[in-house]
Amino acid sequence: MGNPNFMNGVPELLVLRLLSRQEMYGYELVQAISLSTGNAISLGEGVVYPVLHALEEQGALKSRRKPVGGRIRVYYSVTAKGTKRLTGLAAEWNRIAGALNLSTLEARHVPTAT
Amino acid sequence: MSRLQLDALRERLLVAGVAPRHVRRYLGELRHHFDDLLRAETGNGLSGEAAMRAARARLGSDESLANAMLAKPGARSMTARYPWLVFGLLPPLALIVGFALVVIATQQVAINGGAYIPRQGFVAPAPIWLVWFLQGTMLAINFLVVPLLGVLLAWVAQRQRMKLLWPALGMALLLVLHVHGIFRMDAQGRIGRGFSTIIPLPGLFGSVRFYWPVFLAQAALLCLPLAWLWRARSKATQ
Repeated sequence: MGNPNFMNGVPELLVLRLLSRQEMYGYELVQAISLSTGNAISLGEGVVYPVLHALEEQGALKSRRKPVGGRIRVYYSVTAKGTKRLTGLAAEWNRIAGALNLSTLEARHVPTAT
Repeated sequence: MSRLQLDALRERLLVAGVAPRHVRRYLGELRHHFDDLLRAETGNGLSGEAAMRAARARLGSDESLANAMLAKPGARSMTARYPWLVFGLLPPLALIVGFALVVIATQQVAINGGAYIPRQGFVAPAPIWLVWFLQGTMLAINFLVVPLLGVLLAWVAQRQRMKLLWPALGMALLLVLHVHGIFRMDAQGRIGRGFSTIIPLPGLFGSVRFYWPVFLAQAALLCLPLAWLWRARSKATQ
C-alpha cells in the first residue's frame, strides 16, 4: 500500500466487498484481495486482522469459530450494517474515481499555448 | 503448534497500551495465518528455513504489524488510558464498598442467628459462634482481602506492562487510607464491630483510628506482590 492517507478506506472497502460474497477466514481473504486486485495492492498479510477486528467491533462484520482439520479457524461475514457501510463506501469511491477520470480526460484536452 | 515467534510484537503492543485480549486474539490469528503461509510456501517448493523466511516476509514486519494494530481505534485498554482511575481511584473505592457490604452481610448473619436485634444491637453476652465468625471475618478482610487487592493490582500492571509506579501508588493509597475492620468485646460479652479509615465516613464506619499493628502487617503483605512484580520485570529484562 502506498500513501496511507490516500488509501484510507480502501482496505475496508475491499474486505467488505469480498466478504459480502461469502464468509472467509483471514488467510483466504488476503488471497482473495491479491487475486481481485491483480496484486496491485500488496500489504503485509497480517495487517488485515486489525481491519477485520475494527469492522467487527463497529458491527459491520461478525465472526464465528469453526473447527477445520483439527484447527479452529475464525470465519468473518458481513452484517446488515456492513452491507450498508459497503454501499456508502462504494458510492464514495465511485464518485472519487469518476472525478479522477474526468480530470484526466480534461488534462488531455487542454490546448497548449504556442 | 506454530513456530512463529511473536514475543517482541506482543511486548511492543502491550507496552503501547493495547488491551491484552486484543493482543491475544491478534497474535493467535497471526500464528494461524503464518501456518497457512508456511504450508503454501512449502507447496511452492520451498523447504525448511527458506519457507519460514518467505512466510514471515509475507506476513509483514513486526513494525508494520504493530502499526496496523496501534492505528485501530479502541485498541488501547482502560488500564492504559486511565491508569490513575484503575490504580488510584478504584482500589480504595472497591475496598470501602466491599467493607460496607461485609458489614451488611455479617449483620444479616447475626440477625438470622438471633444474635442481633435490629435497632438494639448485638445480644449480650454474644454467642461464641458469633464471636468466632466476626473475628474470622475481620482477620480475613484485614489480612487476606487487602493483600489480595494488592495481588490484583500487580497482576493488572503486569498484564499491561505498566510501570511499577502505578501498582505501587495503588498499594500505597490502600495503606495510607488504612481501611480496616475492627472487632471488640467487653467484659460483659457485648461485642462491637465496625470499620475504620483515616477518612471520616459517616454510617457504617466507626471513628477514625490508626492501628499500627494492622498497618504494618498490611504493608508487609502488600510488599509481596510488588516484590514479585519487580522480580518478574528484572527477569524479563535479563
